[in-house]
Amino acid sequence: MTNARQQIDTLISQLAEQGYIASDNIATTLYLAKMLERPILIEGPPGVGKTELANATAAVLNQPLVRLQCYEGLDESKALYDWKYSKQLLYVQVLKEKLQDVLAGTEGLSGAVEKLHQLDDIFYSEHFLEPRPLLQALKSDTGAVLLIDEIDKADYEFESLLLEILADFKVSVPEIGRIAATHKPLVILTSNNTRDLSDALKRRCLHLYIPFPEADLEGRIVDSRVPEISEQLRRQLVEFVHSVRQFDLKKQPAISETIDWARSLLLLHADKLDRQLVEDSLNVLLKYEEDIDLVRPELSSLLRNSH
Amino acid sequence: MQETLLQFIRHLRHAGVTISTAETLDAMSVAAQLGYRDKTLLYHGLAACLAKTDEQRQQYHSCFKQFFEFDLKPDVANESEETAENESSESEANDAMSGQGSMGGGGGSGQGNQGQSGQNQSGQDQEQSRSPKSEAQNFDQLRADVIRAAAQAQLEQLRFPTQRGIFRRRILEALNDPQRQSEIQALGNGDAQQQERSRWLQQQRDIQLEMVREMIDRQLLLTNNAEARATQEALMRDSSLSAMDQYYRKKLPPLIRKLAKKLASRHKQRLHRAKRGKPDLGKTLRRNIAYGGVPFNRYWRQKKREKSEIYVLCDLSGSVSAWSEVLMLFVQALAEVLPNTRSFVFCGRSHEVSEEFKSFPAEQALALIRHKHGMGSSDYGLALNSFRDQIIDKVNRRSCIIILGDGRGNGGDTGIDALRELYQRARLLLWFNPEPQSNWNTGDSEIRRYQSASHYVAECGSLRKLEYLLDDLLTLMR
Repeated sequence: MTNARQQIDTLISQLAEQGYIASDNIATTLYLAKMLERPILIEGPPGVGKTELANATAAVLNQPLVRLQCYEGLDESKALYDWKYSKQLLYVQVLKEKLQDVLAGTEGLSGAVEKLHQLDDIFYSEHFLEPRPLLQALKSDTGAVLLIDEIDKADYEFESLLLEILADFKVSVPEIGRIAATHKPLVILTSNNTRDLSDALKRRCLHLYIPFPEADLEGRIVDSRVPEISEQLRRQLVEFVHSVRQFDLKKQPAISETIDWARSLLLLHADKLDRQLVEDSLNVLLKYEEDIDLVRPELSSLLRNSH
Repeated sequence: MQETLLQFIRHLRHAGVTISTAETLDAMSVAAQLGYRDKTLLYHGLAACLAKTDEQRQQYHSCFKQFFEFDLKPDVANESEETAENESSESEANDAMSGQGSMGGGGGSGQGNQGQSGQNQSGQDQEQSRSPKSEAQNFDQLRADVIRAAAQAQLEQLRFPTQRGIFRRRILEALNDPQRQSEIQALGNGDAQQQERSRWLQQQRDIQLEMVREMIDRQLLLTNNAEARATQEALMRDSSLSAMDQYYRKKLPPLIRKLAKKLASRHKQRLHRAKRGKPDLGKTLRRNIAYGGVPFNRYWRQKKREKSEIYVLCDLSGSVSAWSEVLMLFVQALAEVLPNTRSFVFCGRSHEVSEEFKSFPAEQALALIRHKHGMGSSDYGLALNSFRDQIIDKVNRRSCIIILGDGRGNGGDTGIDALRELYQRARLLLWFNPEPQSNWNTGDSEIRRYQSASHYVAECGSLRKLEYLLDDLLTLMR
């Protein structure tokens, strides 16, 4: 049983090599998803590294990442498979004469139809199937990490479509039959929680919530992403961001913003935070004018606290 | 071990976390994968498959702590493992899983050695009682006895607070308490040494009594009074609001939200299916000329969805104000599927209160509305006339008007003409009457006249009836 602990610790260090600092919670869920072959549904505010986790996982597992970005109106012809209509049409034109040869000597219409029936549905075979991300992930020879990003943006119908894939790793194509995965992909779904997902979908997934990290963890993340930054500046920066998150903001600064800010401070050759510097670069951290207006008068007290 | 996990899941369910059978199976394989040794790991692992919303995560956290008597700090977890070291591995796991867990397994190791162990120990314990270590050991022993007794008494079957006494007695019987009590009495009359021992026994008994009480409390906390609550909820749905106690009324909002969520999720699905529309043959043919008229790209007729509006007018006079509040809460909770709702209230003149609901949480808004417009006797004439004046230029064939009131105008103006005008314009005018049908048209009730100017007058005597009415309404409006 300590085996599990060891493997999870290994996973954490492997992810760290890819520049992803994972908490215990994240690593445990990822480990379980791999062992139990379950999809993971990741929720959390934007910018906490949901998509990044999929990237890092793909790198650790040394498997290709197949990404499907969801949006309103996404349907199976864009997500799952489509028929190559133009290729079918082209073949029909090219093979017209061939068809005449085949059909030569048949008697009457019913004879010709009978003959055609014997030829099978050649135009609806896998050669004419255009695999989209979901099918690509299933058919991958080496296994894959399938990232279904922002599932909450897709319609309800699409959620139902996913159920079969998530539960059995199989896809029904009416003209061909069921296509099963050669290697079961690791599926990662992310959601920004703009709407409730259906219970059926949630039931099939392991659930992982990634909140804004604690100061210590965020410090380590910044350190791994922006290693050139000085110790003092990093500490100040993380503390500052944490106190900014206490405000009622339209958009809370996420980890990605913290990293961006650290990079821009580095570019400005800063080695510690001061008022002028923060005021000039606040728009990297906060994305709304209202938020900036809210924070600006508090800058001095915020800076005093983070010293 | 599985039994323990199942018990834990049962407790989660009692706490209001919905867990399906499939998720239970998941939890089993998670536990098998991770083992029970590392509790932090188990905590995160089970969380991934059992708690799937923010609310559920909080419930899960507190349940896990309660059930496994568990502190997330690793050093504490180590300590509790040390205390269990001496026992066999099976009971070690059980013990780490705390009292609840061992009830499943350890019931067999009978009563006999309990009395024995109590007596054997007594001598030594008196001598060693100064050293804290042996005191702790003694405490653990007492606790183990209580846990075993609780298992015998099948404490996990405790459901209602009223069963407290019964289970307390059963556990004490399993602890051989009556015998001990008589022993204490007998010794109390003896010489000094015997009296000393009697006092010691009494002390032990007090400690155990306290433990039993704690354990019963904890069990009740875990089941969270779930069954009593479920019965209460069923009762609340069926009973008439006017007969309902203030105490129960306070519990209505969460129940209403629950019912509304159910309705909303059902009607959301329908809305989407209806949006698909019919194929646009002309456009499909035109756009596919390039393919020789073979319809490779299909086009659907774009249908403009006409947004329907709902106007709710509620009587806030004493007799039906409780119902008005319920209806308004319900409609607000349905905001997801009824986006364009305007609420009005009246005692005398009608006032729009949609703004209050926008700027405050529903319950706070209700209190505000009650304070501002409530209390008084209803004047339907003034109310309906002012209501018409406010909305008549907005009402059209897509509007739906719901009026909630008992139609008792205290003999004043009925305002029937204003109502008729709205009736002729609106798509649907519904009158919800909280009075039972047998009371309609008695005394000053004008409901018969209002019936002639409404599409439907419905009795909504209980929450269940209101739920059905709104369900029908949503089907009509989609």
